[in-house]
Amino acid sequence: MDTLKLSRREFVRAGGRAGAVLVLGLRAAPVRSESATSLFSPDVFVSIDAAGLVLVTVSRGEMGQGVRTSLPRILADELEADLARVEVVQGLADQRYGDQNTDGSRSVRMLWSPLRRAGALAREMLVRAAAEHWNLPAAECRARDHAVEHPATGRRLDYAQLVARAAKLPVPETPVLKDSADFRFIGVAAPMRDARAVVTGSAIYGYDVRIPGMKYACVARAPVFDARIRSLDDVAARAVPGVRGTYRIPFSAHPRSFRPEEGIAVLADDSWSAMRGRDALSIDWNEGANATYETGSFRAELRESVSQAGKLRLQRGDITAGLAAEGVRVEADYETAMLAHAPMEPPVAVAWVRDGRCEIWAPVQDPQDVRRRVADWLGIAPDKVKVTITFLGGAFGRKSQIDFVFEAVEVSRQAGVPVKLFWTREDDIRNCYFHAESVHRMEARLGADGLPSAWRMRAAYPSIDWMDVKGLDYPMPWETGMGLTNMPFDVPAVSIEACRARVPIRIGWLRSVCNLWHAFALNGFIDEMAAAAGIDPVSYRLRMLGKDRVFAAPNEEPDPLVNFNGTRVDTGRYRRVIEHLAERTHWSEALPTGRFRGFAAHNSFYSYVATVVEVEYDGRGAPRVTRIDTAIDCGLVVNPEGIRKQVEGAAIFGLGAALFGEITAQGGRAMQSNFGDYRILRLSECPPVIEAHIMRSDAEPGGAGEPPTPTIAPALAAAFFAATGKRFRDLPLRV
Amino acid sequence: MIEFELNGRAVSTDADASMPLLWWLRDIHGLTGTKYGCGIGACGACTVHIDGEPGRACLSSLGSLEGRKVITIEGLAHGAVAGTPAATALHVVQRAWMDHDVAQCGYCQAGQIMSAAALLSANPRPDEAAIDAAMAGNLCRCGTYPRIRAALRAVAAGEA
Repeated sequence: MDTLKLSRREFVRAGGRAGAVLVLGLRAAPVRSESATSLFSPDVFVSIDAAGLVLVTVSRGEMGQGVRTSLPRILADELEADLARVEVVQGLADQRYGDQNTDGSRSVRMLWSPLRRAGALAREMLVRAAAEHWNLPAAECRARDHAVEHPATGRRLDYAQLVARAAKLPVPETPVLKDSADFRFIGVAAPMRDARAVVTGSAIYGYDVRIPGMKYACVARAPVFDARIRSLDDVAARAVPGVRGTYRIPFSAHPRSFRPEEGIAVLADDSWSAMRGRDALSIDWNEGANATYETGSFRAELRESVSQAGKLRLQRGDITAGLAAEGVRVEADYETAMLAHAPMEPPVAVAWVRDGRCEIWAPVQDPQDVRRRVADWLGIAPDKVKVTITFLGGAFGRKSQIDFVFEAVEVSRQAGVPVKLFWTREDDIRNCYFHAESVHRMEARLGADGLPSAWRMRAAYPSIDWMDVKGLDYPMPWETGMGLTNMPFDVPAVSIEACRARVPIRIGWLRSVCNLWHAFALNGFIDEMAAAAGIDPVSYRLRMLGKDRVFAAPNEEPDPLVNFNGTRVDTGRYRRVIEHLAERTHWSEALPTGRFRGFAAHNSFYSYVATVVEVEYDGRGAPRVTRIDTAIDCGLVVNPEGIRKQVEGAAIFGLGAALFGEITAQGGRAMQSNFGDYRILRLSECPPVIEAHIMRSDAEPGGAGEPPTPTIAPALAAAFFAATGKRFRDLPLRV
Repeated sequence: MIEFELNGRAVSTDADASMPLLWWLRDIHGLTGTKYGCGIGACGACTVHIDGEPGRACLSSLGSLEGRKVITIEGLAHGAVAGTPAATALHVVQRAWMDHDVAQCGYCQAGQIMSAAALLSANPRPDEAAIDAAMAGNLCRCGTYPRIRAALRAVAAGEA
């Protein structure tokens, strides 16, 4: 092990070669100055400078979901700002912004009110400043196009002329928000704000951060969950040209949370030398008990688990009597494979630990969480840790699970230099926080009307809460709450049970989380019940819903910060999204010969979604997807173009996962390691038509990034059934 | 010493001849527009033009570039591709990408654009099959494929 400190001269030379300047495409939040009377900062989310330039702080990370486009428009609308004079500032980790966890499809949901409020109070203060200047009642003045006007006299003052006076006014406690009929930007399609930086290659992602004196490191980490280093020979690695040293990432005991696996980091002058150094390491691992984990036998364990009663997560009516009653009995098991996020930018972080402080530049979803946890790791106060979010080159949940940040911090701490800790694609796939594999057992008894009178659902999959609860071996209530216990159907007797599953590999959350397997099992089984009853699957769903009602979702936390799927379920919205899509896709009409389709619906992240997948099939090979239609009610829409892109992307993400997403394990290891063996959908495999049908809604904004994903696999499976007459109960689908 | 042309300018380096162009561009030369995605030529995120042909920077050793012409996304933007007026700030493909609001996270788009630009300079009017064939090697995890197709169709139809 080495300690490596650059001399000042080395530091300057390294910096000079690297271009000397810290290049970050994202402007960091300005520090508020108490004395700056020309700067008007009535709220943490907005400030206006002397030239009238409005700076809007986006406190969440941009990972392709469009927050840097949508969020500023909410504030600018209330402010009556000219968008050409609005700039976006990327917020650092800071509690003043409230929660910053870019996760759970909730950026617009959580920031809708704070941003409207910030824009409205700034507008009210500017109007009052103008009214005072003119010595007129504020009620006679109005804000429009970056200015305050007095319509009666035609007088007009630009915001630039008003900020100094406005800054001296008291901040209103309860600013009056605009009527939604007066929105100018909210609800209007907007293209990506940062598009030019993206297409010219100048946008700075985590992988692109360069700071003077920075060295590059990659890690040889535990090949099996919890494996320990027995012995290390790093002589050859340290002899590789460009390698500066090797550093141990220590083992972290359980509960581990996001702390990293044990490993050996190789630090070098460039990424390529670091990788060559890592290849030359010789590590003898004690692989421990998890080395016996193997997908086939583990799946058998899960099947055994759902054959027995689990922990009761929801009970309604008498399930034992209900299942034993007269009538048609329907039973089926559904299984889903393990998945990896595989964002195009693998995990990466730049860290610099020095003088009792730590600075981090990284593509992370929750900068405050990074700050808190890194401070704890280093034993310093959180205010000594500065976290700057770069653009995220995709995330899908992976980049809020921050083992890679700890690794960067630890190597920088030991080496004493700024470190870019990068993961290769092989690292990313092998040491993922995997979307777990699952088994569901569904049993129902149909009544005389063909609808289920009793329905038992059992689900077995490793719980994500292993991170914080040692030895946990049941899905938690919040997990079955993502699609099972909050299902909208009116069934007299219901039993929903969480069945035992141990955690033999690191698992975590991935776009839509448990909704993916729950929606697959629920929709698949509804189709089977409908077929047993001889009823069209769309009509069957509508009948199962019963009368429109709103109910509190069982097992959901009332606190919106820890609530994901929605505190309340509105079955009327669920019904309308089904009806809307059935109408738009002419569901009741026959398709041309050789065309088939399947239907699925699901509620998640406060939104309601239905999908129709259409395939063509001539009896040979596999059916080919010809189009995907998804309807979404995600409440009030800020940027319809952004929603459209999320719906398109979710269809492709879901389709790739359903067709070939599969991580298998042997010897405790993921058998896949790169895009050659972990396939994601290619352009040439993308259906010719993917259409989003966005519903008008006055409901509070819901999620859009995740909700359109869970319906894809079950709708595809239903279309394959329609085409082939064979039920597809396993993911990925095998034809 | 290896000498080649990068974005219209002569460059030379004494770096190891077996170092892949990708890491030299990003870590040594400081051009980070060319992205790492897989390191095995399976995702296309690092696509550059080598003597006018699309190539994977992760698989192209510096030694293989002696005397050749390399263009990266940074060079494309400055009119280094034949047929683009030097005064134009953006290549026609980059403009089409903005017009069709293609990007989501954007990380793969430099590679997508380089593959698309190479396709159009070889075949200015590609049909659907040609688009699929040329773009099949560029992965996008966000799922921007429908808009990539739309942007390419527009350029091919002379609408962009």
